[in-house]
Amino acid sequence: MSHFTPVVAVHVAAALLALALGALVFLRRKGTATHGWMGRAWAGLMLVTAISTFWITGDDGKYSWIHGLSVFVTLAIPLAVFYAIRGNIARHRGLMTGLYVGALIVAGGFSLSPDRLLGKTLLGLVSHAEAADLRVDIQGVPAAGGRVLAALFDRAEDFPKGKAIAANFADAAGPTASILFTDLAPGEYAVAAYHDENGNGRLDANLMGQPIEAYGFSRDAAGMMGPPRFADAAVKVEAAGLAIKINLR
Amino acid sequence: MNRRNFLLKLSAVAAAAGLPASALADAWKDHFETALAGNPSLLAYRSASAETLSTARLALSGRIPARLRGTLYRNGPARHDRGELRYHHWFDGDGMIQAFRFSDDGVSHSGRFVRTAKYAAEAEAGRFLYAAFGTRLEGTRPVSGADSLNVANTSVLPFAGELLALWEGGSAYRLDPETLATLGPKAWRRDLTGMPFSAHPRLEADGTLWNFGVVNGRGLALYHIAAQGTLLKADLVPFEDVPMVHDFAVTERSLVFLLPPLVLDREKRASGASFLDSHVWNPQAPMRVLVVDKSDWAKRRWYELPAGFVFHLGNAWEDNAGVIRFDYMRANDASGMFQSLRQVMSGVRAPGEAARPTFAALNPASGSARQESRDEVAEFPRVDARMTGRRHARLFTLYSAKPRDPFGFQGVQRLDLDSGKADRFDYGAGFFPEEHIHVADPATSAEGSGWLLGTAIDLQRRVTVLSIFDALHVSDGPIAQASLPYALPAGLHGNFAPALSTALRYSSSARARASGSE
Repeated sequence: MSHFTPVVAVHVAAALLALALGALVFLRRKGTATHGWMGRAWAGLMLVTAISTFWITGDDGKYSWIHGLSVFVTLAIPLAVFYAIRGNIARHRGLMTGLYVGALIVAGGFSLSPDRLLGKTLLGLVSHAEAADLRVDIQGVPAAGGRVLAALFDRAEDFPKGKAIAANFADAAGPTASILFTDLAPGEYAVAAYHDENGNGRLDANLMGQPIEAYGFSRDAAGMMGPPRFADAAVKVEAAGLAIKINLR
Repeated sequence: MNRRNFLLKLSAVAAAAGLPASALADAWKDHFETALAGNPSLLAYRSASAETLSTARLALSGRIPARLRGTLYRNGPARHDRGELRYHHWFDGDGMIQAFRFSDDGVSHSGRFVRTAKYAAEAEAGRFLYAAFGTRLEGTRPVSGADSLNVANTSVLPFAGELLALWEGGSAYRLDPETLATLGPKAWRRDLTGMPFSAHPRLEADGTLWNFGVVNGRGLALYHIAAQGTLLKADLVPFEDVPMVHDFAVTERSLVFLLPPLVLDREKRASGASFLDSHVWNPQAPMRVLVVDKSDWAKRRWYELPAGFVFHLGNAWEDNAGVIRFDYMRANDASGMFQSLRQVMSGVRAPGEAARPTFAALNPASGSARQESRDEVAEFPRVDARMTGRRHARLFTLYSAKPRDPFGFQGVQRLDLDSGKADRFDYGAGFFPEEHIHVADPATSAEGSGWLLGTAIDLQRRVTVLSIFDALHVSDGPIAQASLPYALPAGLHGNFAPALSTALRYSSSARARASGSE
């Protein structure tokens, strides 16, 4: 998964500064000495923005087609500066305007789409106030030692042995433990919890496949000779959040 | 219509209507109490009169042999009801350990329930909370494994410094040998936690322990444990159509399992039938015999005997030709467990097939098996433990020449297997005899020399008596008898722990004799 790494931070900071400085350059008089050094600074910011992307990849570690734009910008910026030095003002203006609109506004806007990292990050910041917390109070931890693990599921087909959408733990210091899941979209969730007595991160089983560490499910659901169904364990998390209890056995 | 017919009819109607058995719970308790007033033999199926029992000095007639020092531990279901609910099967009740201690001061008694997880939860709630072996209960608590239902009610074994209360569907429970306080479930290894460990482990002469557990739908778990209590090996032996198995036998080279055609039907189980009623009897299928090589558990031989049901085996051994010979208590079917031991809980004597001593031979060369049975009804077979896995000539059982019912016995007998002669003591109609076990005389080595120890309920005096016989002269009657001031519920199985001082004295004198003769 891609992450908000320091390189991404540099990339975003340079792009935002370029966006602001570029607008200023467009508004002020052209051809002055100030225009010259502001323009050179803007060119530098654009190069940082473009070149930094070569250290930013997708989940698969590969470059996407948008990196083609980075290559173009890296080559076009020195060319546009070169045009100004040579006095070819028409080509300088055309290329600089195209870079500002195409590479900063259009490409920048595109990077904020919700399926991309920056879009997701932004959406996360905006919707934070809407996200709910689920507190799971676990009771009946049979012995101190090890930790208590809780896994959160939102799909029936994953519950309880498939991939959890989140898993948290707390030290097993006494008969009870509390585990918090934050930033949940309101909806139906089921929780599976167990006492990871030896801290190996697994629910250990005996020779015949029965769990030997204490476990339990939300709504204290239990199956007949097997785990319970999602529907029997599901709780509804509203925007206001929810606290539930699970008894281990 | 008499009461018995009425009750049978009532349960038949209930079964036909698909009513849960617990709908009759109140009726079972009332009917049992009423029947008990007119039939003292039902004392055997009452709950224990108290949580703990203790008598420092039992009234004694005769003399306790000087070399008989130690503790006879017995176990059995002793809490059959809570609140208004009475269990519908004798095997359902919570286990209570009885300890009879033999010292120079006489015989003392103490009794205490095994405080299993189930027992503790139900004691606190004041009612039954969990599913039982033979009773279908409504609204029971969910279980996390067989140990949630463990009643630890079948036998008790002193082994490697520990005292183990045994069931067959789950873990052994560790007890304090002195106070009988419950210490917790026994895990022989972490990945054996909560595994079934049968109530009939076989202790070999060198102190090695073998046992098994039925893993429903999968096969048998096998255990091999050193005399010091350390696990040597445990594994799963898988096979098809796993039946209810209560006991097994060992020879010097093999483990012998009798598999009656009484197989668990998982659909019945899932539909909520009790564990017992989830088993289906198939009279067309044979009694399979599984022989496992002790040194290589993958080496297995299968034999077939005619359909039959078995709880207990006496002993097994291998002759020079490799033929495996063993004795077991064979019933034609499992009706004794399905009917007699169920209906008796409502005070009704229901018919059922009784078991008879049966002698079988498995021929590995031909792959054939044959058997023959004696005429008398018998159960609770025991041998001189020094003969475990070796050729034995003496078998001790309870017997009835003419059965009163499949589990009501007349007396105790020693069978001499070479001559077929029986040496018997008849308690008479006024007694309800229970398992009698053989305790070897530490000063001798001849097979059978020693004592037979067993309890019986004196139905007239309404007390339990403990009798000691010379094991080679059973028909002489008890050489000593101790009386409790109360009647205990009928128990199942027990074992004797020799006093350390006696064991040391005679093992050192045996060594002295051995070195003196060199």
